[in-house]
Amino acid sequence: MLFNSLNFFLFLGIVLIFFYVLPSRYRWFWLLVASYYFYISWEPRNAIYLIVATISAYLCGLGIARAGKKTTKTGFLIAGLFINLGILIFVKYYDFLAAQLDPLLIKSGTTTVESFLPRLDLPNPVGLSFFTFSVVTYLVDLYAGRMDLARHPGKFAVYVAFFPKLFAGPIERARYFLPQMARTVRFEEHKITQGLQLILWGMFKKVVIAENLVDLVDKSFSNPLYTPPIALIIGTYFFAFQIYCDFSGYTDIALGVSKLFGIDLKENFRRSYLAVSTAEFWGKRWHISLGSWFRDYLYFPLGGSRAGRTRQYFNLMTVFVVSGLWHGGLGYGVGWSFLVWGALNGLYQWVGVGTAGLWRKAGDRWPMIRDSSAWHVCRVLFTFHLITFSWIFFRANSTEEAWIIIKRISLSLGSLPQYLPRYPFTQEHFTALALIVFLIAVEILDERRSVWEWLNAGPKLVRWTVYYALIFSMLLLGQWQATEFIYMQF
Amino acid sequence: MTRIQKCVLFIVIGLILYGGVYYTADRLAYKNGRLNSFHKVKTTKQSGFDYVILGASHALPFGFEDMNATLEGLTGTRIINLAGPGHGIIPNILVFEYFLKYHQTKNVLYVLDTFALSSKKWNEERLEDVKLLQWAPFDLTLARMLLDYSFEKGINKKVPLDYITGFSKINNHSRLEPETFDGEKKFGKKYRFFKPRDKQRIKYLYGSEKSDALFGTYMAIFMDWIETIKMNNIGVIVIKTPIPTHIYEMLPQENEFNRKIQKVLMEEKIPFYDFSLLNNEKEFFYDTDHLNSKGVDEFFTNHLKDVLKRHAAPKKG
Repeated sequence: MLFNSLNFFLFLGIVLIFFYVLPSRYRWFWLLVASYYFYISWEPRNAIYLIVATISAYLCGLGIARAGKKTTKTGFLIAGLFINLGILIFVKYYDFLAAQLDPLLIKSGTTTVESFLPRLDLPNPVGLSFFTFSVVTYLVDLYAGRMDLARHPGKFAVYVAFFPKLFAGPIERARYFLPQMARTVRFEEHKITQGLQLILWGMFKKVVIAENLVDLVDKSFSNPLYTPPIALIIGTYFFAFQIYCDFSGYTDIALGVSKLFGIDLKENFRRSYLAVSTAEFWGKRWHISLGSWFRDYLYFPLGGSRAGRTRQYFNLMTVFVVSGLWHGGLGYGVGWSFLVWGALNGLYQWVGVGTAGLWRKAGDRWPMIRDSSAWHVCRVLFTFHLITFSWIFFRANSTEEAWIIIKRISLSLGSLPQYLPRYPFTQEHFTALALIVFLIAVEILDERRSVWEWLNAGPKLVRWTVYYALIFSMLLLGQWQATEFIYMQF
Repeated sequence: MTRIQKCVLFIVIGLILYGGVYYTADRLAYKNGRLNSFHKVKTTKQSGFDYVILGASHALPFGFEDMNATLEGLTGTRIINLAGPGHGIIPNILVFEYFLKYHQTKNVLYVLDTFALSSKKWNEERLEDVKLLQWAPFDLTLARMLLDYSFEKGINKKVPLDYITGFSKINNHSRLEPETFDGEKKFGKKYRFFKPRDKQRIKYLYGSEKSDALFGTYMAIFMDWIETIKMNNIGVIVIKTPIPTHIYEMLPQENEFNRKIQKVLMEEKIPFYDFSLLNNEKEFFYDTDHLNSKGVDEFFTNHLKDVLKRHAAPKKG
């Protein structure tokens, strides 16, 4: 069941009605049933992963909380992490690693059989990464004393499986989520309105913008060697917006749906392409819940920036390389290009940290330039291009193809003015461009003051016109052949 | 205004707007629809025909450009081509039943493909393709038929719902241009065969599903339907269109299925003409398995013309 499907909205309506009709003390059970139904409707057999994650984390949590000795606590923590991260790594990377190791085994003379290591072709449990990361946060926070034990196994199971965030996050912390489960939720009009507004905007971004870019992007990346460089450039820019609208659209819907049940999830995207540096992009604007997860559960434990400059560089690169590996499999297969993508973003951070002092000094010397809007715009555009460049490795079918794309684009830059007017632009290109311009305009407005806040404070006529405009543009321009959200695929 | 009143007002205004959009989309479907089977049935003024052509995409080239008029000229008959891309037995039966609500015919020329007998994809599931409903003008008769099909023949309930709400028409991104079929744009061209593409095409048509049970089920549905229309004094002729030899050899169990089809049709005395390996020079195709304009011309002149003339002639006795 996808968010952008009729089935989901029927399901949501039923779940919501019963949620508010049921007495408060039974609601957790209703949410648990709904969440498991939601998950099972995708692929029943994969529910086993969800069950194992929930039970193992709950039991290890009990162990951590009740153990008297530090070593026993650590033992339970390690057991919980080993089970959950072990399953994630095994399911996600085993076949890929087997394919990489086989040629090495043949070369070393260990075997002559081409597929010496068996391929397991394991199922692709949707959302596995997200619920695994959720249980990891619970176990680590409990171990570190940042939260109390989740005593109610049912409510803990809802935390792991809560359907709005189950497929693609946000990666919610148990210490924020579980206290909300303890509250009595009342039907509050403003919360419902906020939730519906988020759903509407999220659907618009997914169905109208992201889905209308899919074909144009896929055509460009399917065979880069024979695709005109202009199409490669267009495809690269369009992909930046496709992935943004796809993922932030999903998150908006998740946040909106969750609000309908009185639960606030963490903001996961904040007008990402308006970042003025790649550090800001990754730290404060793009997939914030994952960024903070890596910060809190990998970067800080490694020493962060407090263990000296060299160690900081190492830690930064480790975080981004691991993030790159984690991103492998998001609909574009598992491959080395994700490692390159991660390392490239790590490199951006190195340059950022390395030149921070230089920029500070320059800014102090020329404050007029530093504080000018033109400089701000330049920084936004520069950051956007750095990120868009890195997306090439993310989207290309392989590292080799990514290099082909970069090479062909860079070689054609000089002749662009000559070829651009002759390129056969279609109606689809202009529609996509108009949608992107619209998105940017909304995001710029939103950066100053929340557009919804502004609309909610204004006359009803304007607000309703916006609602109808979004709904009917989805009907008229949307692509409704429900396709998966990119980040759902692991 | 109370909360409920606000909600009701919002929904009412929304429905009024929806009605306006629906009406416009339906008008555009009337105006720009061209090849869609349901559109043809609804908009064709003529009521009596000598032949209705049914089948999947292999029968579509017979209606490209002015080919239908050419065939009518060659045979002196009135023909309507209601074939549709990927139409298996069930979509064709639906289209023909719909046709009979408004028109009559003396004969049906059924262009048969074995792939259409081998998978639900080309039968029950085929009607879920929004493209089939994008150009189908609203008609209560068709709405009722789709509802019946969804309750009695296992068609997804979304199909009548989509048709009744007009969703696919409203969401049709090509609404402002005349309906086109990709194959028609290549109709005048010759195809350069390329093995990986040929294999891809076969995989697309036959997939991994090669079930004798399904073949038997669809064949039984096909024969029941033939029986019914024969009782209405409508003649049926079954043909298979030309296909390049090397593609024919790649088709899974084609000979075996052909024998079965031939046997069943012979028992029921249904004329069956297998043109698979006739008129099948490589230059006669615009892609792996569809005749181009030259191929259709030759096929009409050398083969189909005589068949249609023979069966259109008044039966003796």
